[in-house]
Amino acid sequence: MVTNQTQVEKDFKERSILVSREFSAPLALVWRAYTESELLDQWFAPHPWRAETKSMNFAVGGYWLYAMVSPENEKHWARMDYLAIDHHKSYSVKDSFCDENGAVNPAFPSSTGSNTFTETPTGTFVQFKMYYASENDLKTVIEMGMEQGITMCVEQLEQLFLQKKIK
Amino acid sequence: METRRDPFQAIADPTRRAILVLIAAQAMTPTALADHFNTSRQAVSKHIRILTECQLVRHQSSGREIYYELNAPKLKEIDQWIEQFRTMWDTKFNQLEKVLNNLKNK
Repeated sequence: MVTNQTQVEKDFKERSILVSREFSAPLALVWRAYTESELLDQWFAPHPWRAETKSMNFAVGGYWLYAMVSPENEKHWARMDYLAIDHHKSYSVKDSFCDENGAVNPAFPSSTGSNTFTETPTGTFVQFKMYYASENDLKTVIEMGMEQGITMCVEQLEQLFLQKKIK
Repeated sequence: METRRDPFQAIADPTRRAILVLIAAQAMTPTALADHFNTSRQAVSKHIRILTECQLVRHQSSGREIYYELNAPKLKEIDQWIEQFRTMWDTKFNQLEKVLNNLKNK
């Protein structure tokens, strides 16, 4: 089996980060995995976290309301608003943190991004381009990304929670 | 406001990013550096001070002139973050690949 590589490119001028990856599966299948909540729940949270859908409306103006659930069952709610959808080609989103009812928490910066799907001879190429809102948000977004990166190590994660509680 | 100085704070400003790009190519004197910007010399000095505090920029004296140069290892910290970020996405995408394989075999 081909090992596909995840690539990350940063563009500080454009205030964007580009994440790309090829999958050895037909485009229609990859599209489903990105847009159906039962499938998103199976991969969207990096292990040992898991994603849990509360509601999903994949339509322009609709949103996906989900929780990132920690191994200790702690839930972090987030929503992904669908801003534009071009079937089997691309869709753009706005990511925000919220409460379990979907009320957005303005204390955290939100980011916008777009996913683009392209057919290749061996599968599907997916590009996710993320934009952060302002220069000042860059630092916060980077730090939040750092938190997400750390989520793979439970011990470190617990420390992070401790720090947050102290603040 | 936190007064902590880190490389992420340094690169959050477009002028400071431009300064880094300029001195990455070659070490420069404050005057030569200021010539590249429309802002005052004082404003450029302030940016350089922040970059120095973040240890992204070092200065070297050559005769009577001061030269600013890039402290490349510090810039690596930013790359390390990108690497963490990449690893997170890699984990997610490997999970996605499993989901796709299950779907294909149905």
